[in-house]
Amino acid sequence: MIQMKKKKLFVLILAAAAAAFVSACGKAPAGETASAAESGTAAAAETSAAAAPAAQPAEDGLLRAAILYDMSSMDVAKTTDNYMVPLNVFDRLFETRMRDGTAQVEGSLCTDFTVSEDGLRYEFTLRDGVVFSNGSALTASDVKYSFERLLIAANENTDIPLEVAGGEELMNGKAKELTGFEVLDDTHFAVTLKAPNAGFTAELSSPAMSIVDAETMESVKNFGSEPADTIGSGPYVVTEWIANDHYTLEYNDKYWGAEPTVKKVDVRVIPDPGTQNLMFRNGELDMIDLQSLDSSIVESTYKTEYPDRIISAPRVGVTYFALNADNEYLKDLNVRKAIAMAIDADEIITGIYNNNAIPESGIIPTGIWGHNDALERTAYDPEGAKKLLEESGYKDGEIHFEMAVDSAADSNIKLTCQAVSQMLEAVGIRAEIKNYDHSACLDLRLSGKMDSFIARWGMDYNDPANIMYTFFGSPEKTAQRSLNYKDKDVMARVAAASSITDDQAREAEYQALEQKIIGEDAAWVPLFEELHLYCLGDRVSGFTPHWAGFSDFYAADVVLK
Amino acid sequence: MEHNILEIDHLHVVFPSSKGETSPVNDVSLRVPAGKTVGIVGESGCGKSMTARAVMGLIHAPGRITEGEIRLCGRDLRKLSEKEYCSLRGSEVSMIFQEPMTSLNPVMKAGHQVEEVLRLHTDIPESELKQRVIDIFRAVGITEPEKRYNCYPHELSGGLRQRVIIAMAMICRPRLMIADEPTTALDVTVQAQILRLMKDLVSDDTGLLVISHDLGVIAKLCDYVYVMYAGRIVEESDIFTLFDDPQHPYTKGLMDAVGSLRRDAEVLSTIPGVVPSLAHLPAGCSFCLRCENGSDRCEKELPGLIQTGPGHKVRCHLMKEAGQ
Amino acid sequence: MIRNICRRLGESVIVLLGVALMIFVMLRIVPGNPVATMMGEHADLAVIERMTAELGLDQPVYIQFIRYITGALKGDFGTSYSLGKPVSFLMGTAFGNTLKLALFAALFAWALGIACGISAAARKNGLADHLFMGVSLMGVSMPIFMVAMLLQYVFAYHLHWLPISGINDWRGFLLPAVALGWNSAGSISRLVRSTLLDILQEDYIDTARGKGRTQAGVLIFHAFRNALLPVITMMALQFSSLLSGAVITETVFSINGIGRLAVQAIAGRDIPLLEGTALFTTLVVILGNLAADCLYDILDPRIRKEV
Repeated sequence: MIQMKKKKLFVLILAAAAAAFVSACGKAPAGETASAAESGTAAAAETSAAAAPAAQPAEDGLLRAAILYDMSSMDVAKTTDNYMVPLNVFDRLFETRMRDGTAQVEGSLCTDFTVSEDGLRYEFTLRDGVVFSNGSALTASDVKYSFERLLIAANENTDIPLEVAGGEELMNGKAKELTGFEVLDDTHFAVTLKAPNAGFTAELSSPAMSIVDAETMESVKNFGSEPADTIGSGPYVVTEWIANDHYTLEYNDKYWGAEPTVKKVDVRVIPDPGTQNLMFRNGELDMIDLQSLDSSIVESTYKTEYPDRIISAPRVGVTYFALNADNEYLKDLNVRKAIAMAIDADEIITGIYNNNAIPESGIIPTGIWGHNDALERTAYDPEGAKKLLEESGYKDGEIHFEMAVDSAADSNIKLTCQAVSQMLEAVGIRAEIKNYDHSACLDLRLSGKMDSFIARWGMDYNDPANIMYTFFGSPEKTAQRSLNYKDKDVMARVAAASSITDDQAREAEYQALEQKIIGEDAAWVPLFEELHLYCLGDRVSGFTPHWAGFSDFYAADVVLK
Repeated sequence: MEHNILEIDHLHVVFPSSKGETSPVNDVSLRVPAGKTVGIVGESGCGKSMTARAVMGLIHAPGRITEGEIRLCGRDLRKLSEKEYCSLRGSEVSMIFQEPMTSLNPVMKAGHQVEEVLRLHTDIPESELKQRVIDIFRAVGITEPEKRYNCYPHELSGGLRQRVIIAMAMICRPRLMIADEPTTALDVTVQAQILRLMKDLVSDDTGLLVISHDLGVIAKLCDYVYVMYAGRIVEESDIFTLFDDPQHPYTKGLMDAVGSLRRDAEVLSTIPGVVPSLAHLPAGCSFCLRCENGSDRCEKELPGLIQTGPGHKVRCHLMKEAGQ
Repeated sequence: MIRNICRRLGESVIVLLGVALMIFVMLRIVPGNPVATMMGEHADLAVIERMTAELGLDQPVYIQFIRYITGALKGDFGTSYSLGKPVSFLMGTAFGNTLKLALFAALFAWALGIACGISAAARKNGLADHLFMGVSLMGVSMPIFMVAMLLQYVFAYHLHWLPISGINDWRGFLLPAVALGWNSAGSISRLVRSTLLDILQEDYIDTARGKGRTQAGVLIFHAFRNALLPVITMMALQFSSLLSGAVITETVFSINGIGRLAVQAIAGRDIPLLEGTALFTTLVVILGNLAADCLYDILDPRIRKEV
């Protein structure tokens, strides 16, 4: 009997499976025709979906966003890439915010400050009555602790506290505390720098300089990885983080500032841009970062269907073509100049970036203090480039070097590499594209042995030193970053420029250096600055992206309807 | 008066192929009377197994019956639906297949395979099934039937497997059993036991149709014999007449072949030539190409079955109708 | 049989150690600095060097290996560079998701593959045969990402029947499972069909028909049981590949699974995570094969006897 029953059950299961398949078959053809019209990858323009019907109504005050990759840490001592949580959960002494289209450094936790004549000593006043989300008061010693912690943990983001007197000693373990940091009372402290730095307050607005609670840090084990342990004083608290799935921010009712319209942020890890696209169009996301989408979809779908909902902000930084000064051909100034002349950046901007980029002529990108609008771009002149090469006695096709392409780079950068290679080919220079895995590419680049590459440097804080010093500030820096730029004189001037306290004089010096490095030495070929596009869903009425065009943003800068 | 369990009239089985049709069973008529054992003898490929399959309704596609009637206890089997046929197979008519080694499902216990027949055709309660199977195992001479019940086929010897198959065929007491080469694959001692067992299978109201190429088997089991050659019955007779007085040249050849074995003759007697391909049968007598006495007429004209004696028919131009 | 399994488990441990060592060595041969990759483009060489020392990556490989293995034996597989959490924790969560996904996918593939295979074999060259074999050809030849996106577009985006991504409830598993199982279903149905067609030529099929089994009864109770032997092997092997290779499905449907974790580990030169996922995948494949063998033993009495 039992066996009989088993057999009957078995037959039933088989029948059910068959039925399920037949019904699935009935539907498949409809799907196929639909997809044929959509040309596979993802939805192209389709009028019926334009209304973006909401899948399920979202609760009031909830903002739903998506990211491609999960963050590695919420702690700025451990990451330089993932600033969404630091931006929203922590406060800094200063913030750089977009005001009327320009980035302004504003006091945040710091309400007032003075600088000594020599530009070395800063005295800060802290905002009164600020508490962390666990109720503990934010005092000057928390600020000191936050500075020291970066040096002691000594992983990421050590540059800024290292500028403080005694930073080096603390990092090396020769000192127990940061001597340049004096706590005057709970709301007053003074910081003494090793050298004057006019950009110091801007630097303090970097997410790296997030202020943490000293007491909390002593008592918790998993700061930066456990939401409950990750306590800040910002407008939001992180309430949940499921790795590779999602994290959630919720409004911090102890926050000292104005209450934002966004009460809760749900950030999902959606690794496939096509899926993000469908989710947004289905009303499951309130905003989408168009950076990751195929540019053809952005052009064909978003720009036609949601022209009013697209927000564009410069990704403050510069995409550049780096040339290795140690290469047997590239060390020749004429060759470097010819390369600069042979590249038509405008063509790349229109052809590849669909005009979502602005040309750059120097090192300090648009949107950064000190950017020089007047700097002349090297004109596109392939004939002139050929002439230069002839003058140096090179035969057609004689010059050849490798152009490294990072396999993890976005498709536009890869296309740009191809375009540049073709443009160089047209003047008789063979730049052979070679693909590297991301890790290998980075390794080769940092070793200074790469012939050439195209990459983008995104600005960490609103000061020219962030790019000038990093690329041209010392022999170590040039070896790693600008592929062995040689002029030691220039390096010394770049290093000294940070200390010029007079803004005008400092700006003039940077611009002179830019002129020398780009205009005379042609060490670098600046290409353009990308625009970062977002599209807002119908629940969102306004959004101000991060001043530097990060994918990470202040949730308080999103306005819900 | 004795009645027939099985009556086959003018049965034609046709296999279409790319080279045209072949007829492995051509105008075959035969009777299996109640209480009797009837044999079909012939070389392999002569259509004897196909005839049996036709009765079971198990001709493999694309073969099919084109003409003729098959009646089991008076019911015309060709008019049955597939469902009706299924309820008939195993209960009214069953078949003992020729390969005991491969005719049992390797992943099912022997007992379950026999039990299956009961499940399909009877309402015997679940609790009694096993006992029934064990009884029938005992009846067909399976020693330690309880143990064998739980054996898988590969754990059984050839003889035991054949007994299981026989048990399977007889458990529902069918009216007609067909045994297709029941002993061919077994060794000689086992053969004898199985033959003895089969002899006992026939009761007054059942019939047994034995198919074999082995005249010895036929002689031991059958009351009546049909000799088949290339799809046709060439001679039919009761067993004694056939062995005493074979008429058809083919039957004679078969007898000589067996006889030469028996007599330890130095030269084995064989029938010259080969069985003609079914696709290239002559218009006349299909044996004429191998027949010593073949004539033009034999090649062109198909001989009918000629009654040469009481219950003795021969398909040969050389025969004279009895009483003429 | 038990002894056999123990022996094979023993062998598996050696294979696992071998794989661990191979990955360890290979990761140190391939170009690319894991620490530089972890720290990102903006990190300085000095910081990278310091971090390398802190992670013990400046030690000789054999010391690192011994350290790793001793840690692993205690269940400590290190902390992921790219996700900042213990590898064992990350893999635990991811494995849960992948296991569910693979189970759903396998159920789908098995049910569909077997049903289609049987109905195709039941009438060779019939309508069902041509239809199902056509579809299954599509199944085996259609790239998985295409299936995934098609399903997502049609059933989630267009018809709104199922979620586009995420696995908050069982509904979320349906589309990924179908996408993942699609290829398997195709190959299983083809295997079921061809095996059944072979088996239908066997003598015991005639015996079963002779008992009075209907065509369908013969297929299901006699032919199918025998056809299961090769099919089970294939299913078990495929199941382990479903468990370890669901990268694309996991990406398209945003499922935090082992496959995605592994790819993330490779891209980020995340040594602890890479070691962990590789060891895990190896283990799954070994167990899959072992399961196939055991099932085979159970299903085929002939083998059971010999073992």
